[in-house]
Amino acid sequence: MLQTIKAQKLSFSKIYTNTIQNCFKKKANQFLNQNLNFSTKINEIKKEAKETTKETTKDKTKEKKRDSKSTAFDNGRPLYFDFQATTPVDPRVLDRMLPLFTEKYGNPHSRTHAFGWEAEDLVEEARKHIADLISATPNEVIFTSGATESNNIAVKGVSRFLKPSGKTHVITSQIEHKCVLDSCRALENEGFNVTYLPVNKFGLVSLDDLKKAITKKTALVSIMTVNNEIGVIQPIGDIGQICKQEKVWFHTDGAQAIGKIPIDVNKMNIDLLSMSGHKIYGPKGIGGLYVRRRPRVRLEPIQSGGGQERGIRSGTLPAPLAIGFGEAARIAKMEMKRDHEHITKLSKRLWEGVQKKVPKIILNGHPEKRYPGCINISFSYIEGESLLMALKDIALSSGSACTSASLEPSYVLRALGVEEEMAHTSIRFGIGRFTTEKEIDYVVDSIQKQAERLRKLSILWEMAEEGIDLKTIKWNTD
Amino acid sequence: MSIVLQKNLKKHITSNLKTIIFGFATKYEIESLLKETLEEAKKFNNYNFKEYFTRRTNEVFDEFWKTNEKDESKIQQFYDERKQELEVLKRQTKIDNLYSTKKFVIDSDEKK
Repeated sequence: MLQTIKAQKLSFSKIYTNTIQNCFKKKANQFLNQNLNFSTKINEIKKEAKETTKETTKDKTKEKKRDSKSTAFDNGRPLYFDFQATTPVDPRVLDRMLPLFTEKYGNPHSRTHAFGWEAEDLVEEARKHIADLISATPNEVIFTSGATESNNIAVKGVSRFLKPSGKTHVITSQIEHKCVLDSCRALENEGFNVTYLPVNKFGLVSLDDLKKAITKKTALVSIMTVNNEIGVIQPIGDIGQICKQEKVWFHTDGAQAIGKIPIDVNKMNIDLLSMSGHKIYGPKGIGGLYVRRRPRVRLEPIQSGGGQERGIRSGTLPAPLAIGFGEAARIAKMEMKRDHEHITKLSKRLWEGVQKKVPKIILNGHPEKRYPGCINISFSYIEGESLLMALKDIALSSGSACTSASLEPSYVLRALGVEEEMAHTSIRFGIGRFTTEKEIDYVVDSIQKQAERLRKLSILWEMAEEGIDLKTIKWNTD
Repeated sequence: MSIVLQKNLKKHITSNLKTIIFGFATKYEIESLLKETLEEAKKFNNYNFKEYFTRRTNEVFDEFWKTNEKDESKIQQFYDERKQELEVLKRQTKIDNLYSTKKFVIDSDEKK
């Protein structure tokens, strides 16, 4: 190091003497000062780099001792920003679940001994908490394996039950979750007619379209409450009212809605509601289906068996999971206001921060009628996947987790009329109960850095900067 | 007359003293419970849980002070609920530390 400094100094002094000879005293002094500063700066940077590499190697050796297998989290665990895919289990929920894995292992359907009674009591308590969350009565709630199963039971079950009475029409929207759309496809193969309602550019279903679509043959309307990709909240109360007037059963997929926004199945006239445990800080593998009793919704079960859960969903209840779901629902109800305020604040901070620092971005979905914890942004001239790769220390998704393996643009965004290029550049930020302000600031800074870097690499961005309209260009397709 | 007055005065003072002493005692107990809960929340290895339980505990106690509750049974109820949650945290911080391996990106930055 010292030698290099000396060598640099020598070379500069040579230049210095030369320039003095040429009588440019002032300029030479300036030049020398600047370059000397520059060389010292370089040395400082080198020192810093050496120190940091030392530190990281120290950290790495420590981590290797702890866990030699995992390689994905070498620089620490990434920040979690995918609360729509799943949520971490709340420690309070886990605390309620653990005794069922150790001491209280009874089958809740066993009627002949105390182990069974104990488990049954706990399950019923959990059912009550879930019912309270949606203002229903406990005997209207059925445990399933998750929202996908609930949606299948609701859509297929109700339609199949009503088929013999001549009702062979089902209405849904284009931005439903895959499991509803796929169930509808299955019904189409069985001879049903399905109307897929279009949505406007904000992702909202038009009530007039719905009214026009309902016929005498309509068995069921299924429209989700909160969309999983863009967070838009549908006018569920109004849709429920229309369905009640037309005497059509109304099912809504509330997996992303319960525990986050207030839901009252009676005020909103909801007949069937799908729920999921792991979206509200509960365990995975458990969900629920609300089935109205008055007037009674009849449906054909998909699974045959011992007749548990009113015969709609046979099979032994996973008691620990059910209790975890119940506790998660209780906490969600208790914390809803506090969580919502916190998430709204963070969501505003994120959107305003990104908007200020990164130009030419678009917020997908409705600006106000939305759940604030789901922000879907399109970054123009950046490939969404490459931005996701660049933001390795943040866990994000370009859309729904179910379709995150394919590189196709999201069908939800396409239904909103978002252009294909923009749909490819979208990223979803999920904010939840455990997100902090510091994390938001970290994300905003990282996005600014990476977006700038990726745009510098992009020819399209350069052209757009120069004012060339990309749509007018005729690309050579040979 | 004077004796009756004196007795009344004594009664008045003692009853007031009781409420004052009770007030101090409960305030002290609740504040120490808050302190203990915050200390327990810090023990989470998981950055998000640590931050959440610290923030929430502060909020819940602040809200309680704002209501200026005088009803003894309600104060007791609040105290019991918080005490129960403290027990939950005591168990959960241990479990969290048993199974966690790596710090979060943001948490390791803080230490540097």
